[in-house]
Amino acid sequence: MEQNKNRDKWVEDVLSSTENIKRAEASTYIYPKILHRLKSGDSTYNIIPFKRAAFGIVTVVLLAVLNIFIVFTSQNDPGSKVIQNTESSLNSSGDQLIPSQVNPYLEILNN
Amino acid sequence: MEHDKLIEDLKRGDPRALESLFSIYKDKVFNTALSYLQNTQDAEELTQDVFIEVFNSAGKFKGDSAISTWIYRITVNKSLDKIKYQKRRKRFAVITSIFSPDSAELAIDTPDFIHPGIEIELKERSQLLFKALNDLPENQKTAFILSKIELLSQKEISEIMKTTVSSVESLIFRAKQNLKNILSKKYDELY
Repeated sequence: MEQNKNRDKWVEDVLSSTENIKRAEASTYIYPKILHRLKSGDSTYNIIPFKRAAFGIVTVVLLAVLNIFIVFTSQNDPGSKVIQNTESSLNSSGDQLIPSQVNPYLEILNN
Repeated sequence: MEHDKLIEDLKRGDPRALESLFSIYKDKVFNTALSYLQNTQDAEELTQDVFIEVFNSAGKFKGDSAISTWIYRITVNKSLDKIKYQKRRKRFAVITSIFSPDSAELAIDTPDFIHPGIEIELKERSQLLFKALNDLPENQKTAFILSKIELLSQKEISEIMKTTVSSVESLIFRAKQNLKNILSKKYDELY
């Protein structure tokens, strides 16, 4: 009980610690810096630094080029022909892939 | 009326108008930024960003709200953007610290903030309050800072946050409740 009272009082004290807060004064050097930035054209604040954005764009472009390269070369690659041949042979022997309609268990029972 | 003339001069690109606005609002902008960013250097940089934005986008200011509301809104938005940017940088630093521990150390470590306008005997407590503020959702944090530190009225806050007065009231109430919960846990850790 006493602990809770102390806690509540402490919390209230912390919450009211900014009462009567005095304003901090901004440095007088800020204005010349603003003028300098306006004159030099450096008025944009970079949320994403240019270097990092450029690195990201280059990475994406490289990955895209690499993917396109792999897709096109795999069409002319002998290794990919093997895959194509396998696919075509499977398609031509399509009948074999259909499961048999004969039920061996039923045949045994009938006999 | 005087403010209207300042905006008109600013739209024409007159730097003297910017200087006048700067002298009127610099401390408000700096203190608001300081409450969010909790670092003097960052707050100074943000103050520069705000007044550059004011100068560049004066043409877009239609006069629907007071100049102070407009400047506060720019400050709040830029502060929140900068916090997001810093959080991203911290996450990136954590990853880079795995590969080179020394290089990322500075970006990860942020010392506890002591507001320069707080009385000496309250510094330790306010330090805990500012730390707890960082755990609040953005809109609750904004409502609390503008109300309890910037001492703006709920109407002014509602105009800055583009919401209703009752929403602001609710945000401040929830911010206080959340802060109480965070600080209660802190008390249990400390004592």
